[in-house]
Amino acid sequence: MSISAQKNSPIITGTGCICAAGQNTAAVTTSLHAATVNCAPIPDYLFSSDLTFPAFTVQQEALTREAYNFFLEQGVDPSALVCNRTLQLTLTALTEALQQAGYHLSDLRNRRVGIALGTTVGCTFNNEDYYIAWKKDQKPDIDPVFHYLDSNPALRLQKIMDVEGPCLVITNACASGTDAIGVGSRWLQDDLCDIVITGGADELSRIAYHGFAGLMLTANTPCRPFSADREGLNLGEGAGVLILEKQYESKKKKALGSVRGYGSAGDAHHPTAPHPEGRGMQQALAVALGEAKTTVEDIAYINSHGTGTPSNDRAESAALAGLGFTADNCPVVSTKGVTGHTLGAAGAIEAILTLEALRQGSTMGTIGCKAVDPQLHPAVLIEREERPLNGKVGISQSLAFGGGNAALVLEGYPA
Amino acid sequence: MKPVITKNISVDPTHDEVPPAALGRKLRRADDFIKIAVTACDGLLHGDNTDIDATETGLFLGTAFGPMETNFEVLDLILEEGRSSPFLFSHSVFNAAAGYIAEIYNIKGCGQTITDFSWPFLLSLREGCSAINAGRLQRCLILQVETYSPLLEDSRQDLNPHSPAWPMGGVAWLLERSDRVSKGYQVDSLDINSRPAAPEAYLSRVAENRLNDIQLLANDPLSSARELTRYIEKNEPQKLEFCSNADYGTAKLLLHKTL
Repeated sequence: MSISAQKNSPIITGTGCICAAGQNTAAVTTSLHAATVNCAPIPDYLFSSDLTFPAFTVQQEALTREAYNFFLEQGVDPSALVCNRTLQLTLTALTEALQQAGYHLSDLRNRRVGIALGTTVGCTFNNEDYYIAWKKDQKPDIDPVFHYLDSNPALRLQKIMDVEGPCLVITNACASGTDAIGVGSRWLQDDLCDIVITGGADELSRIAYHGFAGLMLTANTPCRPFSADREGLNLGEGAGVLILEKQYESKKKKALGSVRGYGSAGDAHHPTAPHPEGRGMQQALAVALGEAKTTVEDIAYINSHGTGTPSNDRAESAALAGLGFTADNCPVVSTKGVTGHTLGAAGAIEAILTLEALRQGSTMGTIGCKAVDPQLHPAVLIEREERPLNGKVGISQSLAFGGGNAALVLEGYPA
Repeated sequence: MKPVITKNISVDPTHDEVPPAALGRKLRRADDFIKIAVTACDGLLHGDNTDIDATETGLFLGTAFGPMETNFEVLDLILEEGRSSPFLFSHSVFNAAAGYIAEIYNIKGCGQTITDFSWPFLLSLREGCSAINAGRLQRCLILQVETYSPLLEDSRQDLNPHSPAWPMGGVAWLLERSDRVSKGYQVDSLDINSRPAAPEAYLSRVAENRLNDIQLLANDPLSSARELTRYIEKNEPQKLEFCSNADYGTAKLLLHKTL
């Protein structure tokens, strides 16, 4: 097999993200510190709905002018940038990540560049107008079908960037972004490529919006993760992209941190609800910690999935307690109070925010949580609380439909 | 440890019992995608009495189009009644089948659902081999499931009016560590080089697919996985070489039979 043992932890040399909290990592971090909550009714430019659950959405132009110009300046044909919203979000985050890593597209064209992305909506056929016309037997033009076939996020990035290497889209629901980063890390360890572009992206779709409402998981107000009065999640949209490289490849670069470990495990419990004791989450965490050769005592920060649904927060809290995380050794934070639940993008955005907290050496509390549910984990930091971190290694974790769980152990290098 | 394919199965819902009667109640609300996926796994794991810990068994499920029709059923409900169904929506999520399989067969290791228009089965196999090679899993299931949709079929027929309809179906392989098994097919190498192609290529699926000295004729998204499985079952060759050359890239798989 073209797989060999390369056990060095992949280095993170660039990150980029976009969500309701901002169009780049710095803006999102600023929103976290300022407790800015851009949770509002669904804008008309996304879709109309009789439901009134608020969401965290990005402005109409998901592909920012800066990102558009970045690709044009590097010779990308403008027609290649005509794409769906999930891809537009991805390209915006990718631009920031490439700029931070110091890469022009031409630098990548003689390298083996892997692309591992997570999404949920990004792999579905979403052209409602076409679907409605087709159902009415109006024989609509086939272009939207071609557009869909041209929208596999990983392959489309490969096409836009004109690079070669392994390509994969993970559709593990809400854990997709975390799993994609884990898979991309292993490609580097297996020497399948030299650089990995990884992360996750999702636009907010009508199906997801109504689907989560139908499952009675959405809140009528901004979410309050880990609060006793939490009533559910707010959906969001966004993208997070990380550039990973082998250690020896990145020596000349300013590294931001590294992916020390990754674990994935199944609950084997229920199609949509997590195991009440977070059984799979514990297993995923144990695998990730083992791979990182770290212990619970080494972990300085945990960015939880923290959706604000009663069952998620309970399961996650139980999993952390079960592994021995206490209020004394490590703060637990949910950042969904400013990002919303961005589904396939969530794990990637949260990995980036984990890295930022570790690099800065401090964290803000959980926006929306004014008092922690006494039945939950005592280490959850509440809103307006700020805590210095006592180490540089942390965890970003995700739970998903289908009982999927994924965890990353990340190390942040001082800013 | 080298990965060895110890069991394989191809499910054709027009001939096979989908789902098996014993699972009918458990799957009464499931869609075709989930039913085919579970049926394929049942063919490999029914009566399984392994001593391997559940956390050391994993699952890699590849698909080109996922539960596309279920997704449209959710949309129909939203457009017509302004509401969604909890069951339909949860089944429209691409990894719903993996969740069902994990629950029914108590699989607690890593689980990945991979969506790709070119070779979803081989991509899943590559990830499974990596997990076995690195010692992260003792064994794993590799699957591809396809159910398509009438909308997709109409589009395909517009482009290729005389081509046969893509058959629904599923394929599953059980991959185990070479030190635990005595018989099977060892995966010697697997190279996949995807490249961007015109979108039409994923519907026309013009490709040269060769299996040892046989030219494969079928070119639906499941065909390479299905024909590989049937060939192994029928011929039990000492060595197997599968090559595919398409607009959307190349793939090559080498296997050899272990004693």
